[in-house]
Amino acid sequence: MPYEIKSSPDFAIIDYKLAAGESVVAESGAMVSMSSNIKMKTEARGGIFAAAKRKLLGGESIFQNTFTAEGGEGHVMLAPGSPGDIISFDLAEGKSLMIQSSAYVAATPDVKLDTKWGGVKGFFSGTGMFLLKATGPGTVFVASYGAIYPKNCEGEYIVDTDHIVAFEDTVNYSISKVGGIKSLFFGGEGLVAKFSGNGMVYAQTRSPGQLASFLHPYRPVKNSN
Amino acid sequence: MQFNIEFGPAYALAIAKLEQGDAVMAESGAMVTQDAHIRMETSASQGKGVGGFLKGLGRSLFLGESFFRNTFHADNGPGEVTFAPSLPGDIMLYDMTGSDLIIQQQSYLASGTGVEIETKWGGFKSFFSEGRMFWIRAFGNGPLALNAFGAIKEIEIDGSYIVDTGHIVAFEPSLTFTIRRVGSWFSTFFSSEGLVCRFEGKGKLFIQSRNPAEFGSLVGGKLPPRNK
Repeated sequence: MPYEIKSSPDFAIIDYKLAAGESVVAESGAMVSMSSNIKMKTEARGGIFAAAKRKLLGGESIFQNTFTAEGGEGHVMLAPGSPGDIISFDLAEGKSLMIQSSAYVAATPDVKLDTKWGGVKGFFSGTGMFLLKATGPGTVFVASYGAIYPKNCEGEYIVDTDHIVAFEDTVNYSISKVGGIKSLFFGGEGLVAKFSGNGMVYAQTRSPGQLASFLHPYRPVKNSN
Repeated sequence: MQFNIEFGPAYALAIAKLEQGDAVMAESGAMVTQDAHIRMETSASQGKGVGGFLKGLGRSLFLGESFFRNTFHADNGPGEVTFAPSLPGDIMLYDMTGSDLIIQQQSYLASGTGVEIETKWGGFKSFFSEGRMFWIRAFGNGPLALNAFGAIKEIEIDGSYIVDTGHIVAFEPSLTFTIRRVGSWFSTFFSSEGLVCRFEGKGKLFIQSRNPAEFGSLVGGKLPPRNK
């Protein structure tokens, strides 16, 4: 493996070693540090239209950075925005992983990224239930806020939408609310994804939305004049 | 019903394993994942039926306090539900065996159905009227999962002990307490050490290594203003 995930699980970081001429692609803003012989190229991957679609639907940056080692080997350190863990997935040719768009960190150059529509409910709920479909061959890196709870879905399994990190595309999902209408308004549990089929589902143990809700009351109050 | 705690101390997750017919109650919004055949039910924490529901609703709206808890039932076979709090930190288990435990409300995560929660415990009320701190009383029997902001430390008090109120997770009511300022009015104003709780007696106190309100002020104060 040309990479190592260090400082896991609380503040994980990818240390990716590149042989001469080798590349890795990362979400813009993910680069922490790198050898001085690494060249960074910013591009809209898959052409400007595919990139714009990803931006509009996937919430992920329109531009990605490709890091290439020139004239010898080198390394690049890559990290996500939030505290937490990083896991890597080796995808065989044609095999896909569905990723919550904000969880995507980096991938090897042959991995194809496409946007998946999270469904009307996901769109209107503001849960950010936008998905990227990463298709092999190659390795993709996914980050969580908090730890990652892996679960083998056999039949049906439910995950709060704000806690979804990634899932294998062998499971289907639908967005719904749990409990009755009373639960939706007063129960605090908002929308959930109900997975069906067989495959791995990865949940994160903290939710960015809940942190934002916690902080909201501490914001200064606007003067009403 | 049995709890397992994983991924502590920074981002702990409580995993509740339910036998068929078991149930587990949790703070609203705490559910992370669950088996699809587990049935969730929302209830106001006090009283029964519509009266209790409306009363809970009124208090929830007017006091900004979450009075709704969700109960997860394993009617259709054994299963699993996982819970996490909003903030980073650890989760501890406390085994209720008939005695009470006083809990800082934000620290309550989940409990077995044999554990009763009373939300209008007023022991601290007069002292914390301005704050966002609310206290609940747990009684009954069974496991209780409490979450902390940061790490949790258990302190066995025998005599007297002082703790900042924002760092209290829970304490056994065999302890008596008084709320006081540390130092003079001058130091209260300038040192930002606010109110402290002085415990007396013999019993356990659980503290958290970070204070949510301090963190809220630190980060929230840098955010753009909100509407009233």
